[in-house]
Amino acid sequence: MSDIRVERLDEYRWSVPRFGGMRTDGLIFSDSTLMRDIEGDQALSQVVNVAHLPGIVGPSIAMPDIHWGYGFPIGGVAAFDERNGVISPGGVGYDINCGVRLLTSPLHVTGVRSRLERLLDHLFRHIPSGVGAARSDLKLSADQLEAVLSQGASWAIAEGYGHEADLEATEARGTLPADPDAVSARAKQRGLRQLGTVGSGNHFVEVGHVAEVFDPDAASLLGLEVGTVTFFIHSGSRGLGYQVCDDYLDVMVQAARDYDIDLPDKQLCCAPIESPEGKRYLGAMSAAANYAFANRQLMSHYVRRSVASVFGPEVAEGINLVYDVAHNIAKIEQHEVDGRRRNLCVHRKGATRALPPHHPELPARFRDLGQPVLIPGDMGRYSYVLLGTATASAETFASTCHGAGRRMSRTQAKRVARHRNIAQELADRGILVRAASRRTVDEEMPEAYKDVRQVVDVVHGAGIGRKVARLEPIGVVKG
Amino acid sequence: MTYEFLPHTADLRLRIEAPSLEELFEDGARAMRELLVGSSPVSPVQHVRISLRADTPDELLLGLLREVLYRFSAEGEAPSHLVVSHASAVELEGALWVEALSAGRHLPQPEVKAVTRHGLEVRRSAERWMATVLLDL
Repeated sequence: MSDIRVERLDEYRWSVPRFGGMRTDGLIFSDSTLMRDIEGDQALSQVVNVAHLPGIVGPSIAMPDIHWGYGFPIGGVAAFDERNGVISPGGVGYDINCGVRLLTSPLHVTGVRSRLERLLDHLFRHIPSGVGAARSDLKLSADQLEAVLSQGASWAIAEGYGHEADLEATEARGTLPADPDAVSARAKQRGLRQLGTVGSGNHFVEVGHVAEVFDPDAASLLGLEVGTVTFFIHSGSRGLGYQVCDDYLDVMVQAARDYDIDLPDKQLCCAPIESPEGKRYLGAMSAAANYAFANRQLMSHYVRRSVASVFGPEVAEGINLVYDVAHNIAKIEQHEVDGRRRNLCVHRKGATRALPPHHPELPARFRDLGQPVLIPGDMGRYSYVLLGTATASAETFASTCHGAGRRMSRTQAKRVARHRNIAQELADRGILVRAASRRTVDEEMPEAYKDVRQVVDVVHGAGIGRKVARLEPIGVVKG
Repeated sequence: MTYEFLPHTADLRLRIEAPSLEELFEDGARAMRELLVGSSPVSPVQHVRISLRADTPDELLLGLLREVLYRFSAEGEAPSHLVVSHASAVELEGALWVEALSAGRHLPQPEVKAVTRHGLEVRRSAERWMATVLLDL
């Protein structure tokens, strides 16, 4: 129960007027139903805490799927002035550049079912989970890892793992300015054998199809016709990213003390962006982000190869990348604030960039549409494709939601699933699952998650994302 | 066994209770083993020296569990058990017994991303040591 005062601004917007040590207001995108969850969770006090941090520009923003996280809530956006603001590992998350990419294919769902098992077998075999003994077949040298950390997805393209067109359809073209030297030896050691692996938990490679189209013209331009078979990849920077986060949480706890930053919660540890610690974290985090972009590019290659094996090379040639987005990241971006263009460090933890139509960073083919935004749901229901809007640009530093959080803890889900066969239940509904461990399937059961449709309907209703299509899974590969 | 896992929405809370600091650390390693390899067999084939210094026993426990996770994740070593040779509030010396990870023998478990500082606590209550750690999965 929360005693934080919340004022409703309109159907989808709520404000937490500043009080106490808050430097700005909180702004929450939600509806009445979701708001009840938010108020019952500690996320609201976390939105308030973030508003205490120095140099924050605009409100402490919360997406409809906001829930408790370490320091910063998950589903939050916070922007800081480049000169006098802070950067914080808690505002990014452990899984740096956890993100998603969506690929379309020339296949139609009706033609795929007979070969779906074979396709999933290939995907399961060629995309290792990378957990435990399941290492990557790709043996990176230390030099190659350095190249991955500086070049990101470009490295993968140069090595033959995709096409130049893939980079165009990737956020930041899959490469951020980075500082591989700021990544510790431990983090690099964790990263060496995990490139090309998907991870476990809520990471996946999913075969799906377009079930519903909301904007036929936009959907058509993105290659999303009803029945189109799609491939959704959800993965991040693996152990390398987790280690970078851990390393810099230690650094920032000390830095916050050194720079006299008053923290309502120790997990908000941070440093001024322009300080040596701030610069090093930005450089290391960007390197980890590049690793994740390269990783998703590699997995796209494995998807194309699996499709080639099962359906033939001509079909694989027709696999196109719709877009690739990060949903745990902090980037230096230019935004207009009170009529002035400013350089801001935008933290998105469980939130996605959503550039509006005509944004100069968009490649030509998206110029009139806006940036595609990919919102994964749980493995039993649906996912969404949205487009960025001018309203998001004006109100949320061009950000929108990223998915739906859990409603059941892992232990609870395991208990609920104990006498059930979740994989069989899904198969009975036409969804095949291949997973490295039964425990993952149980913990990731659809009922363990909130309904992403509710979250998407709020962002659409609020105008910070525009619905284009809804996808449904037919096959899921999990670590 | 004097540890248990408690629910926490996306993550896992580990609670340990032991009659001594040494056993607290040893139970922590055992808990990590269960998380990382489940009930798969692990033979104590080789050992890794654990030598940690910290300001508090909380930070020592954090350091130990992080080390076990690192060895698993980066070096491919499944933890069997920890033998503590010396433990105080600021020092931990011991040997972590491990076996090289093997696909057929060590069944995969959902990944442990990190051992966090959130709610990290090690305290003494009457004659027992108690600890709470939150793990990010």
